[in-house]
Amino acid sequence: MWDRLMSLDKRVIYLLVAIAIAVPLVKPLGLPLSTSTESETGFNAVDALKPGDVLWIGADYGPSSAPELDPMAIAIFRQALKKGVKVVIYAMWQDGVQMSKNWTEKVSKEVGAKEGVDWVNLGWKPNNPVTLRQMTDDLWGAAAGVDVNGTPLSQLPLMERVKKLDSSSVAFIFDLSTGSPGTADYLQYVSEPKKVPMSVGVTAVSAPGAMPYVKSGQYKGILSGMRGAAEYELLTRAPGSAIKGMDAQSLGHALIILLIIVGNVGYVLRKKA
Amino acid sequence: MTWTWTPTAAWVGAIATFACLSYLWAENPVFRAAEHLFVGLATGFGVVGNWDQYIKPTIQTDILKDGKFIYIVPIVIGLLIYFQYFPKMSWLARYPMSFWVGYGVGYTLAFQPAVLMKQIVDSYGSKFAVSAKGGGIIFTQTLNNILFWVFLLTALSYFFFTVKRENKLLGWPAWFGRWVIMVGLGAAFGNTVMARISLFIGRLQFLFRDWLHVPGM
Repeated sequence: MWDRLMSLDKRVIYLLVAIAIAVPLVKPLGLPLSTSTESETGFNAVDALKPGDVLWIGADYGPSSAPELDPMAIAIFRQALKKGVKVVIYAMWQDGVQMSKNWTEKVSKEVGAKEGVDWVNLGWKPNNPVTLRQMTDDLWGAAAGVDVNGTPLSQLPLMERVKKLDSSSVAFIFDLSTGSPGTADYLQYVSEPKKVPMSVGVTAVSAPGAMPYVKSGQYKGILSGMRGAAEYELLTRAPGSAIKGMDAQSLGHALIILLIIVGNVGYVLRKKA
Repeated sequence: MTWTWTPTAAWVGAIATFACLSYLWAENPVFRAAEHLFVGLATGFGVVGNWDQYIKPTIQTDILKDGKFIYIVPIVIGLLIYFQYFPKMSWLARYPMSFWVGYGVGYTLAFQPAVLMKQIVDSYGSKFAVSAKGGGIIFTQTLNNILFWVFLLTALSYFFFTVKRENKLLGWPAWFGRWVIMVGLGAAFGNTVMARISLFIGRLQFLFRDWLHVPGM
């Protein structure tokens, strides 16, 4: 039996994983979900902002990370707008423009927020992180003077008081990032030199690399992958696609753990034989 | 403009998804076609984005409207990079490259120390976590800090190759450090699995919700 299991076609494993993930998506199991200290720290930091404060959201990701980072962006953006916090969005990834356009329009319509007054999307500018650094001196110049729609920043009331990316204009940064450019650039060129506190939402792959910065207090909490997104949705009491995906995530993991155990037991037994 | 899934777009998305997933069965022409389509789209997207989001507004607003003609100087220096296609004058392409390298190195050296210093201070600072309320020591956090410190030193000692591993004093920390590194890599692999499953969940949510319109999705 072990011989047959050990020579199992990998496509059978793919099929099993696909079934384990697909079934709970259609028929949720309702497994319990708790929140971690790291997610709560990030949530509390945004929650502590006062109406009128400016929250900077970095949309540094593309469609390949959307299942993990889109739910975070939606939850954070909604939480900020509901509190009366103003939001500026900037993408260091070119795909981040379309990603951010999807959730800004959806959430602002839902909350009744006005573009240019309550939030501004600066879109993407090339040559990051140099452009990001330049924004700390002259945001308007670095952004080529226009937002994502090509509207001059001088015509957007919110931007009248956001002329630099520093602590005089921006109260908090929440960067949602897949890799580089991303969270490390915000820390290096903005958060540390300009003393703007920041938190991050990253893909699960990037989380281990970001954790030392959480421990040192350089990141005020961290949202890690779909799990982090689901926790944030739970904290904001607005269930979305991340919470819906957590049952599938758990079952997928359970199957992979089982396969690793079976693989190792089979390896040992075959070696003994 | 917000992206909405029209029936045609949903079908194109679904076909592209299955074309990509078909690689799991075996390498095939459908997968390769999808791969080429993706590369082409990404390139086109990049060119248009560069023009639309930066080059056009820089020329229109900064140079023509605000009269910042000094911007023409870096533009000209940047354009020199294309001389690499002309062998006799390719030496001109070195100038923008030398600017980029010089700026990049100086840039990193100027900004990285502040970030790294905090990491170093945090790694070797006090291990005792004190409660903000009562002033007492938080046992679990303190233990966590001490473990972190032990793991850090032993993992570093694994990369200390000057002394032979047979050395009694330095042998065991290197041995333990290897286990620490393996645990770290295991955690990283677990996170990678989670990320990949998340991507697959995202695709399934699209297929069920936007393509098949399964109720409750």
